[in-house]
Amino acid sequence: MIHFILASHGTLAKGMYESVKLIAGEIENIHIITAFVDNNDIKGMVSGEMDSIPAEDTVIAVTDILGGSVNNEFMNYLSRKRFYLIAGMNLPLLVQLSLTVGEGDDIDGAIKELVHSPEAAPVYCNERSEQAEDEEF
Amino acid sequence: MIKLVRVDHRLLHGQVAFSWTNGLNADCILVASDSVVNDEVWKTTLKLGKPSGVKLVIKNMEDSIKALNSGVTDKYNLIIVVQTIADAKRLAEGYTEIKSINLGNTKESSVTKQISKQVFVTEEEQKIVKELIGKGIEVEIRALVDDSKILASKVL
Repeated sequence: MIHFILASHGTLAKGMYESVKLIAGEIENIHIITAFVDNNDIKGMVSGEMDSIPAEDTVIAVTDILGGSVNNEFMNYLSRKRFYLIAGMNLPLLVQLSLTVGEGDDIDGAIKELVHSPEAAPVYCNERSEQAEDEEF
Repeated sequence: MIKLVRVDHRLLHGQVAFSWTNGLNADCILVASDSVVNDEVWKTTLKLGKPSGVKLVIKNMEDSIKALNSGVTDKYNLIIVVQTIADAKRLAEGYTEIKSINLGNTKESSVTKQISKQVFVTEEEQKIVKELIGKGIEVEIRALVDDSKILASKVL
């Protein structure tokens, strides 16, 4: 089973997921962490969520920003098996992730490809001339 | 040849992009939908989400049926994805080579009955499924390619 965790300072993760749902539909086994809203117990929030997930399950965690407290807390779990951590969530990345990663996949390979692909990066539309082409048979 | 005709309200997503495309060695996916063709955001998302090396063609129902009947699709190992059971019926009626329909993911609502983990059907859809079975078309339920087939006739 694959679990997705979206975690952020404040409610970015929650809002981001609302947007993902509109575009790509619900993500199964989604966990949302909105830290520093009512309290500062980031450690407790993260461990609470991580401990609730069986050790044999796969966890893909996407946080808001590298170097932030949220991502720093998740870094402690990098030695856990089948745990994948991406810092710097954005909507195209999440949509692609939810659309392309499934059970039995090479998740490490898929994430590497995704994170390095232009589709997951911001686009400066003023310099973008052509649309994605429509394919034909 | 047609490898799969799948009803999936999420169209092209992880299960289709990876499990089915790899499992069936598909090199082409046809998304047949009247609503998607006019939705630029969804179209772009689908194009982004498609597995590399696989052609993705998005057409409305009428053009899809035309293309299938014209023979241009014969050379591909083709997966066809439609959003609803009603669309699947329309496709099967327009292109009679379809002998099997896979129910993958359908939307849950207050008027649906759950017949498998990801498949929910309204009364109308149950009628359509029975109609298709009556025509000799296999209607089976699998989320992923390696799941065992559950015949819809057994769970309706």
